[in-house]
Amino acid sequence: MNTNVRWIGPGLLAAALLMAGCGESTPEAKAPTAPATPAASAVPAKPAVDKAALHEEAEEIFSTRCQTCHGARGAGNGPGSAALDPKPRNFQDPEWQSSVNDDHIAKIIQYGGAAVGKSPAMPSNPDLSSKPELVSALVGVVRELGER
Amino acid sequence: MFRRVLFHWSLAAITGMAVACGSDTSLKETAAGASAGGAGNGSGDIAALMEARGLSEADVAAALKTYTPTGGRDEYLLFASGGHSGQVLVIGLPSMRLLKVIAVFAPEPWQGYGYGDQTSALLRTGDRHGVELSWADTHHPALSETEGNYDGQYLFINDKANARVAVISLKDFVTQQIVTSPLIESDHGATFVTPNTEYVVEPSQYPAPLGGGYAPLEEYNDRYRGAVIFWKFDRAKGRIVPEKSWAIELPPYMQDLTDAGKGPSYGYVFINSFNTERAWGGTLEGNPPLESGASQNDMDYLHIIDWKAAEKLVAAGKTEMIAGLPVIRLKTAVDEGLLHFVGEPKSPHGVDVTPDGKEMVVSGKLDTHATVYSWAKIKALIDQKKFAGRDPYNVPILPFEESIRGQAEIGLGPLHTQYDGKGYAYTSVFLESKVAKWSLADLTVVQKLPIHYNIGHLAVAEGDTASPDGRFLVSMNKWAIDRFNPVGPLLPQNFQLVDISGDSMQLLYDLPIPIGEPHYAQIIKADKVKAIEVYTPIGTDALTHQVDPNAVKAGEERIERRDDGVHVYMTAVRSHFTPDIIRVKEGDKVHLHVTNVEQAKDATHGFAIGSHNVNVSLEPGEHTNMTLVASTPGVFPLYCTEFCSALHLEMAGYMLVEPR
Repeated sequence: MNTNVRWIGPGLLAAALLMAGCGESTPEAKAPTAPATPAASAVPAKPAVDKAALHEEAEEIFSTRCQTCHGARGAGNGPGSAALDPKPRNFQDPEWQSSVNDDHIAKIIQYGGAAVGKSPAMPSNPDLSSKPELVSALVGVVRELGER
Repeated sequence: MFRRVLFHWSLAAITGMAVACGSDTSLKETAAGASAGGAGNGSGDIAALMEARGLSEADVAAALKTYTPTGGRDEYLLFASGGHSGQVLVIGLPSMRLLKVIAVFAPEPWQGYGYGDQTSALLRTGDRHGVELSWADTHHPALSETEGNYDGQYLFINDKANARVAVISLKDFVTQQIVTSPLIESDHGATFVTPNTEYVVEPSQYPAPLGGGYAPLEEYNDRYRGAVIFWKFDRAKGRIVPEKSWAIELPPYMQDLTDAGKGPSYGYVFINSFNTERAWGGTLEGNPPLESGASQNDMDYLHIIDWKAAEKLVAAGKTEMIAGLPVIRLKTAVDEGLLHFVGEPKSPHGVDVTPDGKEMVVSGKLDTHATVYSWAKIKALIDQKKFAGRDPYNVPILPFEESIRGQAEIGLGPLHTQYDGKGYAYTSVFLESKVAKWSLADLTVVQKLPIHYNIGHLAVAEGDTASPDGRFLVSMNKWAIDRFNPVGPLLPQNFQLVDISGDSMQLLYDLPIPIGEPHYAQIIKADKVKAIEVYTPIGTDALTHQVDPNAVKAGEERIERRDDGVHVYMTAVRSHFTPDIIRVKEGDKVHLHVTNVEQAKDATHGFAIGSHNVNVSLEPGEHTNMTLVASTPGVFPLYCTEFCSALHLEMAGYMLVEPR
């Protein structure tokens, strides 16, 4: 990866071209709104993941986004479940818990039921796709509901 | 390997930039220098500005691609439906500046639309079943076309909630006409035009008894129907001609997006459908919810309609009048070979004809593919009458496998496709919140770009025409979630501008849309639209583009008291109305005829009378007619509501209503 290119002299090329030329090529264009690295400051060391905080955030997400249908204790009996057919997954079901791996649950959380051939009534959570650690924590919350 | 980019701003060469992709050492040195010079002082040390605002290299590149200096023009105009606002949005690209909200189906105060003048009468032409409608759910704008390309003359827009279609003139960006037929109760796939704007196509969405009236849901299969209306458009007059319009009855599936064939497929329209299960909900009546009942079948039906043949049938009178429209009944459509189906994977949304008219791409929301249908194969199957079966209404179904060229594996929730004219298709991927760029030649995805979030439609510059421009794509995202400052629980939608000119797509800019949920948009080259700057000659009615019979010339202002009320012939010019005093008696009907006699660009006046809900906008040269009843004695100021001059506040007068 050659990054030590120095461009000198104003007006040699259009500025936009210059900057495009400096960019690393990435298979998927990065959203400019992704966490930015200021060009003229040192990169802070990546903070250690605070697992307790992540778990707390995941529980908060469960209580705001999931429990309406899946129920506060994940039994699939939340108030939003009444009209659903099929019914929301019962996370307390040990048979189901043992039949799926974490990746499967993570996929459903991010992309919805239709992503795995299940009910499209289970919606996607597109803003979580860029937060894999939070998705993992949420998978952990789902797993814990099966252990209670 | 970490690398840095650094920008120096050269005062000597404003147009250029010295860009250093250098080491940390040079970076620090220069950053220190920049700091000493001070950021934000107008000299624009880019590195310091980037640091101060936390911008990345990609952010700055995106800014350079969108920034439009004051006075600069945009290359493209994006016409987007305004969703619940009932209006149409006009947005410049690449700046993403909102240029206008065109009033269409709902009152709009700034344009004086629906506040007492001719536009109030126009809005009333859109009423249905005797109900005054003051909102709409606009979905799909359609620019007028000539030979499959946008011609910049007219724009059509539907109202899903109330099955209406409006005609907007791009001469002045003003709504000219609203049409509606009680034949259908809702529409979604509207509006789409045939390649020479022969017709504006409006298919229904939710089946109902044709022409209105009651029928029990239990008789859904027999008495509920869909239909597609072909509104005849008279380009010279700029009007839909209801008397020359007609419709085709369709089975009670939920017809959806539509596209017109062009080139080899000219003469046909293609309409998607879902709910071929004919579910109708009933969650408290022991039935599954509609969403579940409607998602049981693996295939729904792509409707293939021969509108050229249908036109001949209408001329031959093989129709039945329903709700004032000649309707080709379903049996006739089948018997005469106008209507064919072919399976399309699960709950499809977009059907998008390729620029050459040879193929149609269908996206199945609950399927991971975009399916590419071959028009040549479909036409041959129709000609050979080679059917795989028939639906419950005897509509012939073409064999799926023999109708397609192939399928592209897109991802989760493909929705809608447009083209760049360079061999690539761009499909919105709802569940993944991505735009997929894929090759039409080998049906493989070359890039997926994350967007934010829940993309619905997308629009590429002229991307649904016979000759797409490419360049830019706008992702029309349903959810914003965390993209903007919190403004309470109701969040705007998010339009995201994407540069598709290079090998790889780059996300450039966000535009929140806080007025309604747009669904579809079209992007036209700005120079194709030739908008007037003022109304000429003075006294022009914006709804007819003719001089109004009541137009007032300067020096001929007057007040006439007649049997039908008091007629006030008034002019507006900076900075006064003439006359500026209106004296009437309690209970008088007051007819106000006001002409803005100015011809200077942007010299718009407003005219409002307090407590009477009268408010109009008078663009230069425009004339309007208003009628009010002076029912309450009193003194009511009237004034110009559009800041027009240094003496704008003095541009005022009174309406005096004397007690009887």
